[in-house]
Amino acid sequence: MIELRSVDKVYSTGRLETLALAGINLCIQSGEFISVMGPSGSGKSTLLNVMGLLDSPTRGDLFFNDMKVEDLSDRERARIRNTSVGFIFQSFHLIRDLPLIDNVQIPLLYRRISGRERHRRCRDVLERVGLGSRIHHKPGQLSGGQQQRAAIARAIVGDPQLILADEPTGNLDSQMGDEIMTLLQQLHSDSNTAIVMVTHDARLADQTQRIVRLFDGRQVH
Amino acid sequence: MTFVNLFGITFTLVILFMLVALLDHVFGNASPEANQNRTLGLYRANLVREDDAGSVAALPGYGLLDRYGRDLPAVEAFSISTLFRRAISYVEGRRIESYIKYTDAAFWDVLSFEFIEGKPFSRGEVRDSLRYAVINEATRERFFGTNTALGKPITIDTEVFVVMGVVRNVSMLRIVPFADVWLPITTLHDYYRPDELAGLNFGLILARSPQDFDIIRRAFSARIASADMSGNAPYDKVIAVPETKFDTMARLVFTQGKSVANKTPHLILMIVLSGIVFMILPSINLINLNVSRILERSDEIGIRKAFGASSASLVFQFLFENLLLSIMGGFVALCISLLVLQGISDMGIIPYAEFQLNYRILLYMILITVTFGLLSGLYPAWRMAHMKPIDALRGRVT
Repeated sequence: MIELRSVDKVYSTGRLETLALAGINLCIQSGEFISVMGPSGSGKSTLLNVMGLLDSPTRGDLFFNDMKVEDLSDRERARIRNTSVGFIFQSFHLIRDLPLIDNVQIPLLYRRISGRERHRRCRDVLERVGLGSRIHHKPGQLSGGQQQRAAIARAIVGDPQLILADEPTGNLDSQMGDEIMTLLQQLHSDSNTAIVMVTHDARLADQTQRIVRLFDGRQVH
Repeated sequence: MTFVNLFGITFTLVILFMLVALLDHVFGNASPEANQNRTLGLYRANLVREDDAGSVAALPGYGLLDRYGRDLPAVEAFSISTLFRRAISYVEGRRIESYIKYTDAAFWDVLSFEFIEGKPFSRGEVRDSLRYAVINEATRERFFGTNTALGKPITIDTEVFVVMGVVRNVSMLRIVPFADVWLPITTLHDYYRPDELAGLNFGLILARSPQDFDIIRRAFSARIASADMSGNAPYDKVIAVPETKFDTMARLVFTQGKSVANKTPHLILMIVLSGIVFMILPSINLINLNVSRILERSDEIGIRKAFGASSASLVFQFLFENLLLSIMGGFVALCISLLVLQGISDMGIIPYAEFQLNYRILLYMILITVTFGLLSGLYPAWRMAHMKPIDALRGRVT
């Protein structure tokens, strides 16, 4: 489904160049549950951002469903993000002024779906993550765990092929972290969605099917 | 931040709205100038020398209008009037100042005054120099209180006239019809000066239709090309054009009346450009405020982009939001403008000026609001929409 061939990512600030990813070769199949591990600054989040088309590789090729991403227009990339990818961020990234239902429906706003259908689907996923009674609450009225559940609801509401979770338990205590992990496991077993999860927690990584390890932007085995 | 934006938008729009209301008050089609679409005026006469050694710029003289303006083709009515001037009266020891205008019977045909009492003076009454007067309602109140004025004498500059009609007040900014008292031009002692090409009069031409304007202009131009210049030495030529008030203003601004060239498009362009320049400064200010507002929302932009919003849809969203804010500002500005204009009307700074809202002003206001909203929203929306999603999510925007 997704393939990276010799991908480099270089960040330039003035004269300083930082190699965030170097020669990454990675292939992810549909339905896989993978964790990405490595120390801080090893390029884990950068890898996730490149795979999610939030950022572009400096060198190398990225293929999404056999389409070379480099050849795609801004609009086509946006369309892939909209229909095929769901993001879960460490700091939730919910829009604080919007109630949960409006936060969750964001991916559906950019598709041709009626308002009624959007609401039905949002209610369904919020029920699935245990927030059915909180749909009109704003993010600030919820605990960290609940906010992350809402973020998961937003990631899955559009039935994506791939979920990219960047340290989804990083801001939560261990009990809440376990709850989120259980939710992701459940999601994985219920659908054919591939999940790539960045984590520092070896205990959580062990629960995934494959671990990709990074060090200084390079893949290590 | 949104409140500061709203304040900036409102303040700018109030000034623009007032300007529009003022322009409409002076030039708009309203009683008694309700036939402006088929009215031309002879408002300027320039006497020039062939050797370019000097010129006179003035209002047309009676001779010019009488000899060359009458009986033009495609004309329904032609009127000659003087510009208004101040006159003094005394009523029971009270000194009353009025503006008087000398005119003819056709004046009442070209313009559509609303008579409260009586009627205008007729052609026969003007021809016979009968001392009749038409006054406005304010003058009636000053002279006669709440009583009827019809048939009563009124003394203007020591001369006595009999009131035969009372009309609604006309704003002083409508200089063509404006006066307190209208008198037959033939009662003016030395009105008839056949040689006078430049003087203190103006002519009004009511065309059969706006399509006849060119025929009228050409006919008049042909007549004055061979105008008799004797009695106007040392000048060799007279320049005068049947045109609208706005056309005259344009010609004065750009040629001081020395050319017959149509400068109206230039004046329109100048007004539009001035309006845009006037809008650009607050727009730049608003652009900065909008950029700051958008940067505050970079997280939202990042989220929307991450979940599939294209640049175009975000540009649309932010432009729409800005337009909505502008429309809110426009509405507040409209309320404030109405209050201010009502205040100006009530204070009586400009005699009989009553600034009122009409569909034309409303249309211009909507146009200005939308232009302002787009002008101040386009760049910030474009800039925001072209952020990289990851930069927006990380707040890494400059």
